[in-house]
Amino acid sequence: MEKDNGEKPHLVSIVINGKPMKYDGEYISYEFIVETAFPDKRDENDMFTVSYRGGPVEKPDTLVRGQKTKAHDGMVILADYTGRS
Amino acid sequence: MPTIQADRSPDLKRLMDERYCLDIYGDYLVIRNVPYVDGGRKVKLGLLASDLQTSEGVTVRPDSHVAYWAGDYPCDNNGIPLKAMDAGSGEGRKVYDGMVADYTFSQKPKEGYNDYYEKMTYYVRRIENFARAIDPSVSARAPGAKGGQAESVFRYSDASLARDGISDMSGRARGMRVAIAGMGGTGSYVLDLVAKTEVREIHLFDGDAFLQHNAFRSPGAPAPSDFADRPKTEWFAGIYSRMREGVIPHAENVGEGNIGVLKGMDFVFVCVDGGKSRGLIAEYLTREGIPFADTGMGLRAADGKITGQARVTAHDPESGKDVLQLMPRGGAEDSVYSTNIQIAEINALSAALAVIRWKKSWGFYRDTGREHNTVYAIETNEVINGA
Repeated sequence: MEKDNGEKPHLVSIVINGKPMKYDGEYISYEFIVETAFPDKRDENDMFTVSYRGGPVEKPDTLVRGQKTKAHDGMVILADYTGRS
Repeated sequence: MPTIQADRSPDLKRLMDERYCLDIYGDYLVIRNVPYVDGGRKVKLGLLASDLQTSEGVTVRPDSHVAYWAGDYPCDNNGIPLKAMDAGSGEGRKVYDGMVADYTFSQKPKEGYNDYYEKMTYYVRRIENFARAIDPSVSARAPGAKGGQAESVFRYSDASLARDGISDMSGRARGMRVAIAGMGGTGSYVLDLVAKTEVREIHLFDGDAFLQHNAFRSPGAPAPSDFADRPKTEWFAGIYSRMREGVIPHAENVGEGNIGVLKGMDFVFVCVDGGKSRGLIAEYLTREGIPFADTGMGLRAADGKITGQARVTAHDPESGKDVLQLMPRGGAEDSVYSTNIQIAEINALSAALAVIRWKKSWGFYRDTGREHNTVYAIETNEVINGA
């Protein structure tokens, strides 16, 4: 994103399924998280369980398809396919 | 005076055998003494009637889903009117000599009613369940019914109920028919918990045999000699039938060809492995207006340790909320995304969360959170409520 006042880009350190990475962007979406955690994802209809903590509010929360949340430095994200019983 | 012999029609006979207060007046079928809750949260008795279509003295499939009601407008246990079935005021509409309807109802499950037993009990259950949430002793069925609510399902009693003062709360489950689709890890723990409640029937659905590896993810401790080639449902029904009646095994998976086995259930625990059958079952139950709780876990290995999440998603037909989008329903092979690992304590935790959610739905536990989706994250030990 272009900034005209010389500010540095919004780069934060996050963790997705145990893998640390740098994330560039104000918001992070369910889609980005799932693409990152499951790059071989096949079926567009599959729903993943995404939860995060260290985000905008104190308590942990979840994301579903179409949702996004503000990216915070240090946020820890989990993504799983919760299909087994 | 009835003009047809109710005995000759299986649906009417079943209503009589189950001791509903059934009468037939001309072309109308009437069920008296239906407990309901009025706007002031008082439990009263009302009267439900329907057109009765017959051919040569025997009932045929109802072609109308309309019912007539004499009484105040029935409400839920908080005194909120049950508007979903309202077809407008039938006020002053004479149904037959001796009944003038106050209201008409119009509601049906997607495939309609196969017979008058289904039609009348569909309405009666929806109305009386809220009355029973306030006073578990009321019922549209007279006492002494076959498998009736007056008799206990247990072969010995739980003395702690009276001592701890919770027999009123636990009694609200009486008469219920629940199903568990999938008797794997989570389903077997669900059974272990639900078997100890006063529900009338617990239907188990699973097409697989009970094998040695299953023993490591279900309650109890089979002996080496217990592993005969027998269906899981038979194995579990055998154990829990020692304690109570009404545990009914069906050695088949719920799928497209037999989805109708879930019709008429008061609640379903969806504990199936994999997305396709989960989607099929959840969509059917949503159409039929049957509440359910779906469970699923996704575990993976990371740095030589196990981690992952478990999920319970609940559907409440009264809320009108669509929870299908929260559940994995894809047809892809699950092992692409996560391992097949299941661990007993995670199965048990998922089952406990699902059972607690179910018990909130019929008023055993207080429910102020009203969550529809719960996620347990193993590595952070968090229970996250959403949607």
